[in-house]
Amino acid sequence: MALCDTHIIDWQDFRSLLIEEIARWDNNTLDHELDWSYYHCWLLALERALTNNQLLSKQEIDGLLETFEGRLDGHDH
Amino acid sequence: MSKKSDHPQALRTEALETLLIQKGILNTQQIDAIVKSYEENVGPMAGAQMVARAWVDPKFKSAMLKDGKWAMSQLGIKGAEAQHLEIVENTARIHNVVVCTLCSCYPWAVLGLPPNWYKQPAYRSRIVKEPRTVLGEFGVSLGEDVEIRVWDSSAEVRYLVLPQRPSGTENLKESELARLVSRDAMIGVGIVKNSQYR
Repeated sequence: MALCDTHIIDWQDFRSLLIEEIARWDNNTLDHELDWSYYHCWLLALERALTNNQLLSKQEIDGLLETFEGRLDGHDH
Repeated sequence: MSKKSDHPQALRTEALETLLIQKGILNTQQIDAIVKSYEENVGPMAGAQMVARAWVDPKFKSAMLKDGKWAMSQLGIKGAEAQHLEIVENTARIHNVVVCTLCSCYPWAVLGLPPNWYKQPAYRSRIVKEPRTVLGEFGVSLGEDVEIRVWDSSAEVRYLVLPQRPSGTENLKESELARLVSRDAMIGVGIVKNSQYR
């Protein structure tokens, strides 16, 4: 919301990506009720919006994720 | 699925937020302001105020049914989400219910954050295919003579259901009426009841 409010990304563009991610899940043949996570689709859409607009790169995101995963328990914030 | 999508969502969110702040694209004050707004100012009480006003003021109701954004402005309700807000009125013969079949479009400015079930695939598909059954599961039993209208939200148009005013509330003030109105009733999966006689 902050990104849209400041016009850094466009809400319509983000919504289109979200619809694509949800549709991708809808078309999946796995057990839907066990795997469904709206926020997972939302997060994927947000990442795509950020990388499509070249605000962040996949390498940056992956790199920081690995750093966070290596943190000791209790040091996540 | 890629390796990235196996990471916990919280970690992914934290990574995105951290990077955006580090790069100066966003700052913590901007994010905190939005969180605070949705904690303190935005919620279904805004929609309930509109409903209560419509119940007591026929002119307001008539105007609100033509222009939901105008009604919001009259009550000082702001919000960019509801670019175009359409009010759909329940009657003895018509019951309205709202969905977003593609994602989760929802009138945040007047109802706050959408409930999780609203975003679930089951609700998004079943409310269109079998609305009477789904409404029954929510505790809304409608006679066969009641027409059910399902409104599919979009980025451009959001919907707010104007529920029927329950009987026996003629002596209630507007603020008291607003307290009777639930979020679910304004989505269309609930009925407003006169809680005086609970």
